[in-house]
Amino acid sequence: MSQFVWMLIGVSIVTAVPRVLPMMLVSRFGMPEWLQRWLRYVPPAVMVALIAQSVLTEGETFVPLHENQNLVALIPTLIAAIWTRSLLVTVLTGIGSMLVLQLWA
Amino acid sequence: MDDPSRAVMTGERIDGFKRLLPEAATDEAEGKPFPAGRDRDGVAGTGTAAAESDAACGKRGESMPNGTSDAVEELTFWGGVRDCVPTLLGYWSIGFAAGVVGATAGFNVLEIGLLSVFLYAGSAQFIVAAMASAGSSIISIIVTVFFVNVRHLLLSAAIAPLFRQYSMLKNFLLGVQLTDETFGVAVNRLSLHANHRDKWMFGLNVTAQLNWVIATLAGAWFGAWIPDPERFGLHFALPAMFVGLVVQQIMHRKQWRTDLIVAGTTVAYFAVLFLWLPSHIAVILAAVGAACTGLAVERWR
Repeated sequence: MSQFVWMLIGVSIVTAVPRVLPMMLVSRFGMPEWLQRWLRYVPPAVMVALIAQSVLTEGETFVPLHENQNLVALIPTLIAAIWTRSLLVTVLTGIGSMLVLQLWA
Repeated sequence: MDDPSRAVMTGERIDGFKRLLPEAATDEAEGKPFPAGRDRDGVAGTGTAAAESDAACGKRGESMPNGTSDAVEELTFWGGVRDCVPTLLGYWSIGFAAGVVGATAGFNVLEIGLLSVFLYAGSAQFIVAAMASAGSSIISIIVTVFFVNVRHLLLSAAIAPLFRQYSMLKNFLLGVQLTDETFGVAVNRLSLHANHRDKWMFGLNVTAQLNWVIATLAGAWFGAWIPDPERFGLHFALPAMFVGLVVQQIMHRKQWRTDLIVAGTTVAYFAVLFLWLPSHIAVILAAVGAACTGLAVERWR
């Protein structure tokens, strides 16, 4: 148990510091204009990078393109997102598409 | 706790930031409905410095010197709770899986609960389970988790301007529960024209983490009896959610060309970087590179 507690403390600190540090520093010292400009592109970039990671890779290897079900399920998901702009409909479409793919393919 | 004088003194910089946030108002001005997932009753102004800061103008419509239709949206704790709902399927499926994996790795229910409360990071909890069951040293687990989670620096910095008028303590409390999912919801939902962003964010955070803890505990308890969630397509909940979030964001910002270039280059950078680097590092560098590309396109077009 004490082994576990040390591990827990360690991983919690190294996770919490990157989460809180920028917000705390900005609330104290503000942020230069060029950085704000740059950070405007970070949200779409991070989210697209996370999509690419979960769609294209499995563990530390690429999923071969010709057997990548994620890419197929991505098409109706993307259409649902653009068409409805609803997060819930998009998520349900994605899950539904993947379910159909796994039953039929 | 909020310091009104600071918000006023830094009004110039806030204004500078606001110019970079055209998403605050365009849709409403054209009478279009909000994208789903946002509040229908949300009202945002068309951009005056008066809209800034809880402290500066506590009530909707107050301190609007020019009498335009500018109005400040009032956010609430429960609004944040409600806006968390579309993400819950993702939390439940991934959290359940994380609980199952943790139990398989030999953690007991209490330890899995503690990890969800204090670590509270999906991919890191999978990695902790995998490394612990492989007998890795504590130091190597901590170092790996650091690299997996260091991307939060980017997320935290990107939403920091929305919370800058709040105290450092409040920023600590709001930031410590920051995740990819809550970040995605917050950047789409919040603008400088909304009051009580702290309460809203806290509602979002608490709902997300509560569901995460419950899901991982359920996985730890019942995992052995319930078949693999992957079989029901649930593992696609997370990428689908990010697709929904990023589409909403790009359609709302109305700067298609730059945003689509950023999205495209992100995928390209990620694919190339992943040839040599672990995927969580490739994610960070791809996002950093693509954001630089966006800035370059904006400057030189």
